[in-house]
Amino acid sequence: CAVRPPAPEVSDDSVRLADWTPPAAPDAWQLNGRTSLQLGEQGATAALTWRQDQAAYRIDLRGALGAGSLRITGDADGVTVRTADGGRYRAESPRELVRAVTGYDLPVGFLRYWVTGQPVPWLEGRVTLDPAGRPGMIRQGGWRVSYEAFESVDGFPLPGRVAVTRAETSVRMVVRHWSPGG
Amino acid sequence: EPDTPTPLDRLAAYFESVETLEGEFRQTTRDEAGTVVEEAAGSFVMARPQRFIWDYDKPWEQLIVADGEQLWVHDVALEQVVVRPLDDALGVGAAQLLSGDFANLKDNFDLSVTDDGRIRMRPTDPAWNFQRVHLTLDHGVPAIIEVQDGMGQRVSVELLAIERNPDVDFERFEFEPPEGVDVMQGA
Repeated sequence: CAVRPPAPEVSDDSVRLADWTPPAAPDAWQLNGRTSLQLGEQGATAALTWRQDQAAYRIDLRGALGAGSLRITGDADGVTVRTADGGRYRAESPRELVRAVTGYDLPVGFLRYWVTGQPVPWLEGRVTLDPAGRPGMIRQGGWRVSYEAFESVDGFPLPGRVAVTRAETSVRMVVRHWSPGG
Repeated sequence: EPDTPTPLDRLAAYFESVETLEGEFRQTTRDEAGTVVEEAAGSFVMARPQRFIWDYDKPWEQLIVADGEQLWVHDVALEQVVVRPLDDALGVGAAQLLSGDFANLKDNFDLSVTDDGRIRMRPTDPAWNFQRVHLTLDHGVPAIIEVQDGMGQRVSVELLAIERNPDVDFERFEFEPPEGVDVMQGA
């Protein structure tokens, strides 16, 4: 089923994030899936492999027929982006670097939390919960993060579909395989 | 004694004698350490000029259609389609190589032959010349197409159960985005 853009809530049944205790999430995990990045009319889709271990991460993106690959590796100190043509770019902020290299303003630092159904710890916001107490939507930093198809993996509730949108920018992820513990 | 055709002669003969091609493919992607990062499979059909369908059913449903002018990539799980002009999608590796013509291929690639008889193809366009492409012919048709990028990632496409010059209705290459799917311009 499509991740439809969230219908305008008639009654806002969301709660403040400060009043919600999210379910436990693994602090190390790997996911395999597909992702799309959209900026207004333009966009791209790619195969996605994401390994996260505490603050360290490696995100591999592969375009159609293996063209246009990109690798983002980072930790608390900084981030490196490698591109298909062998280019290598280093910076402190993943967001700045990803924007410089790809043109997409992606909240890379936030996605790490949102992709596992967690709020960004240092941001205020609101969450709408589904009957099972899992997030249907998290709103933080001007972004809307909507979830579908949660599944329990090694006891952790992890989403099968995530859509992150703000104004003209949207990132969609469909996860085929979660492996907590990385 | 008649000189045996070189691999490049056979490649030229392929472009002259094969107008359509249909079959299955297996695509293996390895990272620079040689570790397999994805195994994909599906079916393809190709017709000159510039028409092909690359239909993945494993590990993901994804349909790639070149309709002669544009390249459509329909990602079924994401319910999105990315469309871009065909000629700026040269890097679309294997599929693009199959359906062009030999003159166009020679414009886009410097061709040479490796010691083990594979055809080495280096893109002439600086935007793509980080790619190394190797083509293996078998019975006069492409059998293995391997594309390596500047990060050392290798995508190897093996063509199987190939039918040469089947009847192919050009209408098969007309792509209509399904209802409810987002269509995006390829960036």
